[in-house]
Amino acid sequence: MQRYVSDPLRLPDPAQPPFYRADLELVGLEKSGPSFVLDVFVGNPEADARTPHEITSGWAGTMPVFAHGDCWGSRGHCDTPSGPISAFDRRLPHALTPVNLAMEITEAIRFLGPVEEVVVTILAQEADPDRAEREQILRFRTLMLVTYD
Amino acid sequence: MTVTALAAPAPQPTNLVLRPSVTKLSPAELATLRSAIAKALALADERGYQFFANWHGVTFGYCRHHEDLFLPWHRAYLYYFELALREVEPTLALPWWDWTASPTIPAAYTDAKDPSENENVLLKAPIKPWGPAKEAPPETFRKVGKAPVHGPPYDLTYVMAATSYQDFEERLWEIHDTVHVWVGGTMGNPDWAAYDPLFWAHHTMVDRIWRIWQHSANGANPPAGSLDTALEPRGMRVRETLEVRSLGYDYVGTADAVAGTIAAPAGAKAAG
Repeated sequence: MQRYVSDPLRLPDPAQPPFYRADLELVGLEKSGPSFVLDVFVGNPEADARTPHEITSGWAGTMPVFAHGDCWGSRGHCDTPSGPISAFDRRLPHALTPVNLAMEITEAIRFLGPVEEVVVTILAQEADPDRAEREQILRFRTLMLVTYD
Repeated sequence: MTVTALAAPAPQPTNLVLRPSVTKLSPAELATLRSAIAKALALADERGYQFFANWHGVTFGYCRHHEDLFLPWHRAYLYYFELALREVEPTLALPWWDWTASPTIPAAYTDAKDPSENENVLLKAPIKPWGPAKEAPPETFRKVGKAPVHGPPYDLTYVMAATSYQDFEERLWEIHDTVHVWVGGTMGNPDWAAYDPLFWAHHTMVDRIWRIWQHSANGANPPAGSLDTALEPRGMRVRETLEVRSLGYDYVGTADAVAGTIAAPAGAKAAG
């Protein structure tokens, strides 16, 4: 299991009108390799595989990622693509182009009460429990906490 | 809303690829062509040479011949193949074999060895169908001049005089067919023709002739009813094939070689 703990992410000023929704967005998430599962906790930087999936533990939800599978091609086939090679490149984006995935975590954030910052902990594991675990399951460019008011 | 700013994507190159005559390639450009083919041959997936060769005949049979889609389909085919080669050799531009100028196949495609005494990858290529197929030859071969057809150089005057798309296409595909049959061997069989590296130079010439005719006083579009036809397998529409510059390429020095054409684009020069 791979464990990721974010830097503190700012929430809206508690004095402002309350937000009605909060999303955690993984930007530029790489999906090469086999499918995997993300467990997301907020306000609990110590969360690990033994932490209960309960809101009192900061558990915000579980996000399965139906990924690509093993690489069947030649060397470099499943490397993260660099994008179109020119402005005239009309090919569809590479199937492994990193994606943006969002998960609603409103309830878990509200449960924390009036806080200014929150730490997000993500536990990443292989979807297939019989599979030998990779070193890097979770790879993404940016983590965003987006609130709507 | 809390938002983390993202880096802007890198700008994409916007320069045109200018396809040259194979007989005008510099040694370095010819080496780039051979390198691109060699690297593509080494890729056993959908980036590789065999994948694209499989589009034409065996295995997938997407090619269109003797109909309105003949020229658009092969233009799209070359476009995707050239992009794949540019993934492994970024300065690559597909060269054309000018069968109006010489009675022989260019030496680049017939020499047994390259200047480094390695096997010439433009001479022949393995044939590796992707799916169940009738028995395939192990590699491409040619039987040049053995068929009862006249060989090059071919005269395009009659082709270029056509004033409708259908007439032009029919006249051009007759010469196209003749070239295939004259080269013979696997080039003479649509099932295996695209596995031969010479195929790409031949069809680049066909595409070049179409481009020149399109810009001539006689040029005309394909039938309106075909313009929204999606070309297999990637769905490019016929109307998207009509202007080569919108596909990111053009041809070097084309206007002087065929009668009845406009001048070459200003500033045209060899790619790379």
